[in-house]
Amino acid sequence: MPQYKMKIDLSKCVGCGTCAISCKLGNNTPKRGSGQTFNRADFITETTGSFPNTKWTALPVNCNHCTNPACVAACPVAPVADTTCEPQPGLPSGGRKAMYKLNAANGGIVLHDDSRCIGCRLCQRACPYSTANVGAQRAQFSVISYNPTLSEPYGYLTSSQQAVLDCTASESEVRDAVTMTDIAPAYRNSWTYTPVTGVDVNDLRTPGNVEKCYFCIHRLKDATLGATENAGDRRPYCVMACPAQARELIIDGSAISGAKVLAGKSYTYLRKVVLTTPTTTGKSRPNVFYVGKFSNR
Amino acid sequence: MIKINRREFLKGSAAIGVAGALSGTLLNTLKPATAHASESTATWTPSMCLGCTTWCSVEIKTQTDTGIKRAVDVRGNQNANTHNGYVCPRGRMALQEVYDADRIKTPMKRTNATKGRNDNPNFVPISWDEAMDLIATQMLALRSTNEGHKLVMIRGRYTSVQTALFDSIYAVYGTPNFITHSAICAEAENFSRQNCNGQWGYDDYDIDNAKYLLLWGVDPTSSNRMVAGAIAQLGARMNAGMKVVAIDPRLNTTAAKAHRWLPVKPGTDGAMALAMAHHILVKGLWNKTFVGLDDYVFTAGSNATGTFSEKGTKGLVDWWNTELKNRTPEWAEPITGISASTIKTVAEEFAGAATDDDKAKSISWLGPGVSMAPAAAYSGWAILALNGLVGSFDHTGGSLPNLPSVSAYQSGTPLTSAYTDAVGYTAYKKQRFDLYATSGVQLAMPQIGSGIAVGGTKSTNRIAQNALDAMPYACKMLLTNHGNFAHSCGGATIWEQALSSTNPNGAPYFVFIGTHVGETAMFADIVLPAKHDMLQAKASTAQKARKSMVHGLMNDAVPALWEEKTSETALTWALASKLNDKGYANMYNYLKDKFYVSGFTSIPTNEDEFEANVQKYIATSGSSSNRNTQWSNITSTTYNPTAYGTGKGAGNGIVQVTYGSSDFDSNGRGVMWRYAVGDTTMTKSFGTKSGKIEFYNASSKLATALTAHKTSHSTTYQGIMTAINYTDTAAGIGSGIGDMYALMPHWESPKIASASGYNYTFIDYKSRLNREGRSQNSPWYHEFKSCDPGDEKWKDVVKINPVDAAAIGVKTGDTVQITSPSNTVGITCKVKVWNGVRQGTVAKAYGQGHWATGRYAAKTFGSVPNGGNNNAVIPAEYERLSGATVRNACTKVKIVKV
Repeated sequence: MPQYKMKIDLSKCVGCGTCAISCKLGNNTPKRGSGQTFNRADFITETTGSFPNTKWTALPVNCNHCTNPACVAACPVAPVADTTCEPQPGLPSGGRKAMYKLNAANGGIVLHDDSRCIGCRLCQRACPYSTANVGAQRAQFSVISYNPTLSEPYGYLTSSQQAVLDCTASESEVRDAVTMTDIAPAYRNSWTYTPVTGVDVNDLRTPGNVEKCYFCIHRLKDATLGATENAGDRRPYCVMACPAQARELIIDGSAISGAKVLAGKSYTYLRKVVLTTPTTTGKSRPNVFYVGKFSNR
Repeated sequence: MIKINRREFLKGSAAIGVAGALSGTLLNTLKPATAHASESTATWTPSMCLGCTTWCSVEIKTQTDTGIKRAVDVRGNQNANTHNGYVCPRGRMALQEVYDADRIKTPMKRTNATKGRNDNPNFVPISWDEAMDLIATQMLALRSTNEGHKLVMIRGRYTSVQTALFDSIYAVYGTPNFITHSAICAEAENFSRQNCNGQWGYDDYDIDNAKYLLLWGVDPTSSNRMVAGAIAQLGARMNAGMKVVAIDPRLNTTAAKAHRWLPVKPGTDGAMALAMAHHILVKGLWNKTFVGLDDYVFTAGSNATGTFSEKGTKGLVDWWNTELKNRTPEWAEPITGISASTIKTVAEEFAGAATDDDKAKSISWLGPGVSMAPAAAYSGWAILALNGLVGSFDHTGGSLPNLPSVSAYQSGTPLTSAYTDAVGYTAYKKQRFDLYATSGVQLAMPQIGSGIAVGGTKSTNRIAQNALDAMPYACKMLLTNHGNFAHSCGGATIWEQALSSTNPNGAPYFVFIGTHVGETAMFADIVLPAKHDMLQAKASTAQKARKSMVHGLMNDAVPALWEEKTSETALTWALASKLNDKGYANMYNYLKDKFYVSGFTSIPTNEDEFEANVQKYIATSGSSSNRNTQWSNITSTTYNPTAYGTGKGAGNGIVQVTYGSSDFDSNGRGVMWRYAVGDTTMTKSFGTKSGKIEFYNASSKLATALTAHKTSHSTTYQGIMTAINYTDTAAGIGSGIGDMYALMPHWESPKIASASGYNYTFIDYKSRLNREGRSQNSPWYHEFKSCDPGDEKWKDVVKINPVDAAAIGVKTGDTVQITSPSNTVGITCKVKVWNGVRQGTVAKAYGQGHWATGRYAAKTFGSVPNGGNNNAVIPAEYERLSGATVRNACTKVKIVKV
């Protein structure tokens, strides 16, 4: 099994945001807060040119699942031996930190283990596509978001405030009405993912954890959703939902011709103010590839 | 989920101390056990999305892990041809609507008799029984004084089962006032289309096969009537060579992708369309197979010459000689702001294909951005007429008015006559409330509807002003379903005045039915909670796209969480039952008897059975045996693409009828097209009076309607046109052209009500995240608002050209007040300095500015809006031939930094 890649065809994309909403729904990510978007898939937009030669473009984004991921390098959690993962110092057969990368034979997805994360956010600082506070840094997107320690990720769903007293509902009543005992949206997509290594990939967040795109590994590996990996319902939410079919997950190692990666200029409008320098040496080598042009002008 | 345990404690400590010292293995042993259901327990239930007018066939994913069936995802119906099995962003947003924390839980009653924007209604919860008792008492009181007609009902979003609610009150209880929202939707567009190809309704656009899209005031990947399908096809078709030109004063989404964006000055699209028609004729580019006139010569400034006859169209030479010959691209340039050379180029691209059958694959797509403007009917007609010149109506790759029908699988309203008593009938026959009382005033609002019907449309937005004026009589009781007219109608504040205690003729007793306490509901006496149409109710509806017509069921995929009822059926049953208890049995008997089909449905004994009966009745047709077969097919969990023969299919919640290859000839010509060129084997023709695409017809349906209007008001065509503010038309008639000028597409300049100091033309558009006016309480709406070009997340922004921003002295992020001559209080919102609008115009999405509705829609529920409502600054003005409310009113606004 080679490195999984995502191909995003900008000529098909219309910037509608269905991918972003679908990801937010399927992965039950919290509402924006504390400078975090919790949008694992998102889109960034840019207007260029002067009237009437104006261009507006949208660029779908998510984790690049880099071949040389800065986030994994920065993760300070001691790796445990795991032969499904990329090698780590002292673990030539593979090591699994809190942030880790499956080796190419296992798809090369950059994963995050909630149960081992210590919430230090070094990964968020190291990732060239992430930022610690999207509001303060006027960034449109951050691959990695952070659920603050000792703060309920879905705290806003505990409110008992009623717009019209005794007549309209409240967040807590909605959860009670669907007997959602966890603090989670009523439309929570309940799922479990239990790989052989016992990695903790959950449908809900816990405080003190970072989170990011997993290429919806829980779907890719869930044979009950369909016969073929990355087919039908087993595709990542953003891929499955895209009404323009602009997103595609490539799992067979085939080359993507004419592709570009998110780098250079794009980098600056992901993060308008760069506070930190990527801590890795060498290029991150993203595995999300863009083909085509959004605009025909 | 927050579960403070030793692990969390360790993690907190670690974050403070030096990271990396901890052993992951240690932490891993403390991993909590997971106990969630597997995703594989999920099931999909078909339904129809009512988030916009596309009405997509969808499927709703549910899970039952918590013990209650919950909706967790939405996708396109995998078997519906209309939209490739996908939905636009609106589909999934329905989940934040259905589980919105501000849903109405219970019937509620106002306890503060004083009604006004700043008066707290002091709503208290009441039982359904009490609510029905209060409403029935009001309705019976009106009947007792022969004032049933003073009950005015308005439907906002509705389904095919609306018949149970509205028709039973309208035709059995008796009131002429069953008013639809269509006049604030796109009625003016229907009017233009009827004049051109005879269709009162909307064409399907065959993007799959089109080679050229000319988009006028429409953004198909964001709104209009085939959003998901347009998203699915646009990029792929452009990659395959289809050209796209977007004409819109604002850089919309499709314009952003298009080969050309032509930012025409607001209200001047008609001038560009006329100039294009002129140039196509001068260059000899028209489709001669369809139009005929093969040897004609059209020279600017001169009458046309030639001998060949006209085929599929009618009146082209008259149109040229009267109007087009002087409408040169050079004439249009200063009016439109688009250069003559660009107009010529686009005309040549549009009509320049080498073969006639390829010319017919160019679509001139008319949108409400053009139509829903004052005096815009002729501009809309000119734009549609371009399809006539290239022969693209009813042609593969063109604009398709003739669609496969699903009517064989639907029933209309059961007959009411046996249930209407004398009191009801007398009220039913009274003057309708949206019409003006006096003939002198009604002259100014012909409201020409389908066919030749003067007064044939229902002018939704007249209700508020007429209630203030008590014309034609006082509105004593108002009932609305799924509408928020004090937010959605131009001149929105008039609705607040009409519903307030300060109304000199008294505020009507107001019953509001909906999912949220919207702004209009804040003036209600009774508020009734409605189930969510797409996810919780049984109903049905039909829609078309991509050469298919789908009739689909809405199913109650998930249960109601509170005391809501399905507004169009179960609620009606409850009301009729209460009326029955109080001695008026007719409505109850009608509902009980007429949706019952022996051998198919049972006689209902409660509201749930009634709701199920109505759905089954409306979604089938014919004998009980036919109905049983149809019902069994449509409710089947598998899809049978040939259930009814070639091109038809049923199952998975839909019946689908698709154009077959036999509907077009080998050149892609549809049956009406072939009739038009004299194929006598075809019997169909376009719906116009002549059966052809009409540019001018002295005896057209419009001529009949205008003549009837002229006669009933003892005036002339010129008198009508003067009264309805079509001043250029009136002048043209008076200049010696005569009445024929009113019967062809021609230049009518935009009517702009300006006043000193109001220097910017306001452009309204629909957010692609609007589930009409009902999604602004969704956090996702705000989180992803940047999907509307120029807009920003968690903000409501007015887009201002940089030159104008400098002149006003504002920058991005500033707060401004926007006022208009009709509303000097205005609205406030944020500024976005943006190059996607031309100097002198500003653009803002409709949707936000709610001061009630809910926690995300309003800044402070009940008082402080979040952003500004466009309709507060847009005046209550009309396209008067159709009676449509004009959201694109070319409103002049003043912008001041605050």
